[in-house]
Amino acid sequence: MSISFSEVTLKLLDGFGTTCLIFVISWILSIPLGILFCLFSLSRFKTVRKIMQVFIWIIRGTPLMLQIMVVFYVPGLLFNWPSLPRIAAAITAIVINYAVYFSEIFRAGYQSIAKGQQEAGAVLGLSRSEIFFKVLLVPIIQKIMPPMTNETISLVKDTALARIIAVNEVMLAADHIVGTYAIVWVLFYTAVFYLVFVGILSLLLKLLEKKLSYFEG
Amino acid sequence: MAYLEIENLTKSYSGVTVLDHFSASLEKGETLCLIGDSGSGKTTFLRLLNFLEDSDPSAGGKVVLDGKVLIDSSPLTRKEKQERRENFGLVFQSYNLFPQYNVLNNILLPVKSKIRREGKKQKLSFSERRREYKKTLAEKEKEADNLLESVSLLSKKESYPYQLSGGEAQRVAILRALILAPKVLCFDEPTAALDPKLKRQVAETILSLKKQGQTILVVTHEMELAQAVSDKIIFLEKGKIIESGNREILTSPHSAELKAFLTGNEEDIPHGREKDIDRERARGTLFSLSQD
Repeated sequence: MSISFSEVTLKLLDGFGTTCLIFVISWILSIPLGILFCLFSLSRFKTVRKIMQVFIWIIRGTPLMLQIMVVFYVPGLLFNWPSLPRIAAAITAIVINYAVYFSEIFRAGYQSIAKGQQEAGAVLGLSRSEIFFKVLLVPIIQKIMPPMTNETISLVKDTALARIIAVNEVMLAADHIVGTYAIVWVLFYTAVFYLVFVGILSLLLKLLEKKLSYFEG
Repeated sequence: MAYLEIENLTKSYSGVTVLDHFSASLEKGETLCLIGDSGSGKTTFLRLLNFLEDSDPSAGGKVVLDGKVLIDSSPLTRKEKQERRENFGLVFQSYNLFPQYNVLNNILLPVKSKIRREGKKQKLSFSERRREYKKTLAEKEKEADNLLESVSLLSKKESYPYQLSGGEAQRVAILRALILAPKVLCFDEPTAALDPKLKRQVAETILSLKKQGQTILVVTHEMELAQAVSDKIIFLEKGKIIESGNREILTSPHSAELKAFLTGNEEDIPHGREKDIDRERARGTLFSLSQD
C-alpha cells in the first residue's frame, strides 16, 4: 500500500485546518477569561483570591491532556449529562488552561507597572477607569508581549493534545498515515506545517511587540 | 485664618506613628519647606495632603484651604477625593511621567480628563459637549505651548519621556501639575538624583513660580534648596515637628536634633534619639541664589 505526496498533503491540511481552528478559538477566548481570572487574583476579597489560588494550583499542577479527558468524559460518566462534541471539549479544556497561564502573565504585568504611575494618574484627577485605560493599559500590554508570545506559541503545539479524545487534528492525521502506510517522512512533513505556522505567528507578534515599544527607544 | 491651615494631621501604619499631630499654616504665595531625614514623615505628609493616603480619623486632623475644609475626620468617597485633589498639584520625586505619551500629551492628559468631567457637570448635549471640548482643548494646547516655551522645552513637545534628561523630565512634570492651576503646588524631593547644575535650575524654577504668586510646599533633605526658596521651614523627626520658623533656623537652630541634622554629627543628638543620619545629604553651597 502506498500513498502519494499530494494525498498526504491533503490529509495533513485537513487536520491542520482543525489545529488552526482549535488554536484561534482557544486563543481568542482564553484572553478575556484570563483577564477575568486576573481580576479575581487581584480582588480585594481574600476569599476570592484564595479560591483563585487553589484553582490556579489545580490547573497548573495537572497535565493539559488530563484536563481535556476530564472535560470530555466526566460530565457523561459522572452525571449522565450529554458529552460535549470532541472539538468543543478540547477547546474548553485548552481555554481554561491557557486562561490561567495568561491571567498570571497579566497579573505580573499589572504589578510590574510602578505604583507611581497609578498615583500620578490619581493626583492629576483621573478617574479609576481613566487610570487603567489611559495610563496603565499600554505599558502593561507592552510589558507582557514577550511572555504572551511564548505562551501563544506553546498553545499552537498544545492543540496536538486534542488527539487524546480523537479530535482529527494534524498530529492524529499524521499518526494515521504513519501507522497505515509505514512511512516516516510524514512526521517531518508535519513538523514543517507547525514550523511555518509558528514562524509566521512569531513574526507577527514580534512586529506587534516592536510597534508597542515606540516609547522605549 | 491662614490660606492653608493644617491641624493635627496624623498617620500610623500598624501601630507605628509616622506623622504625629502635624500642624502648620501657610499664607497665599508663600513657600514652606519640610526638612528631615528619610523616614521623618515628610513624604507621608505630602501623600496625605494629596489624598494618596487617609489620615488617622481618631486624631481629629483637619486641612482647610482658602476657607474650605478639605480633610477632617469624616471619610471621603473616591469621587470626593478626586474633586478635592484638584486643589493640589504634586511633582513626584521620580516625576512619574507617562512613558507612552509625548511631552505635550503628558501635559494635556489631565486637562482632557478635567474638560470632560466639567462638560458632564454642565449637562450639555453630546454635540455641544464635543464642541466645548474641542474649543477648550485648543485653548489649553496653546497654554501648554506657552508653558513649554517658558521653560525652553517647546522643541521637545513631540519627544517621549525616555528622550528627556532628568531636568527636562522634571520640568515637564511641573508643567503637567501647573496646567491644572492648583492652589498649592507640592514638590517631593525635587533635587534628589540631580547633578549640581540641575539642582540650581530646580531652585530657579521654584523661585520663578513663587514670583508668580504660587503657593508651594517642598519636601527636601537638601538644606541649600530650603535656604534658597523657603519662607517657612519645618524640621521633622520621627513624624514630629521638632523646630519650625523662617529660614534663619537653618543658620541658628535651637534644638539639638536640628543642629545634629544640619551638621550631620550624631554626637549632637540627645541620648535615645539616635537616628541613622543620611550621610549623603549635601552640605556644600550648591545654591547661591537670592529671592530678589
